[in-house]
Amino acid sequence: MTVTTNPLVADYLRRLETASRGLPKGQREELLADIREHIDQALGPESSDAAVRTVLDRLGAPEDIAPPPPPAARAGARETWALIVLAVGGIFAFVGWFAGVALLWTSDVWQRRDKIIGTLLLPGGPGGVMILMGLGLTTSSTSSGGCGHPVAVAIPVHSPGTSVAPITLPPSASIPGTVSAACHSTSSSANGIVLLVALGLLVVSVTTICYLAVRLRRLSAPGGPAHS
Amino acid sequence: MVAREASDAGAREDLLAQLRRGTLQYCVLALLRDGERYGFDLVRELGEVHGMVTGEGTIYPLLSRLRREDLVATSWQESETGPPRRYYRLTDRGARALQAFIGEWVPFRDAVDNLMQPRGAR
Repeated sequence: MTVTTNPLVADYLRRLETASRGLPKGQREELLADIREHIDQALGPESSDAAVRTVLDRLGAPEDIAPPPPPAARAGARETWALIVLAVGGIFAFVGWFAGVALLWTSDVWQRRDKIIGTLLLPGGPGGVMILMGLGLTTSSTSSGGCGHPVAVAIPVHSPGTSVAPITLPPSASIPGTVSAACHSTSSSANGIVLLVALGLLVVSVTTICYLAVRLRRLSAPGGPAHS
Repeated sequence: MVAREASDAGAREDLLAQLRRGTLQYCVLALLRDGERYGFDLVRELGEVHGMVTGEGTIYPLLSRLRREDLVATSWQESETGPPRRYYRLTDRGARALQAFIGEWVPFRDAVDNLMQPRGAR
């Protein structure tokens, strides 16, 4: 790599780096390595500027070497439907969401990383999360319905000769602070937790949809995708 | 006048580019038919063939693609005089692709040559 200390070469390689922005990272690095190796082999460590210029001219302009990015796939109906179905498809017992995933993965516009994010965050999409929210709220309220059932409490009755008889107390009976209140707080805290978690999941899944939409706009802009 | 010449040169270049498009990769494969070669040598030789390349550098992306398509394979070989150098060789798949191309190219080339002959000579 001694020749790259030559400013002409360094400048050339810099231009090549810029011109090859449209390539996937691995290919870009390969190309830069190949060209560096070529220059190394064409020139000795002590090469005159004239010799360097000749070699670089023979290589051709960096802008001609780096292949232009492939024509940007335009965002079309498939991508629109993918977003819609991913967002609400989960409502139809998740099955709809799978259709959204199929549309996502068969699209030419989104990149692999986008597709992985779109699938994993979150399965079911906002629609699915809302279904789960509904289910979660329903089950936690039916368990809190246990508070509506009579509670059997054994209270010793002090009278000689009589046996201890269990007395059932309705929940509204005033054993203040203990049974009913405890029951009430577990149901509301369970509900609260479920709600928070569900809202969190909803936010994540909606954010994913927004992310996909933003990526769509960036990737299908004229000029083609620029890989980071 | 200068503009006309420039646009003629541009048109010629476009024409060459079109002709190259289908054939350049097979020329690369053909150069590897007789054995492994250094990338550098490959590029130099191709660069000397008329009209084959606009700049030597453009061959590297092509080589990279041929590698990805498993038509060529590369290996690094130590060299006494500096960093390891990249060797290219034809894969079985590449050899088959080259054969297929030759099978199509020869009759096609002959047909075009024939058409290009002036009427009387055919």
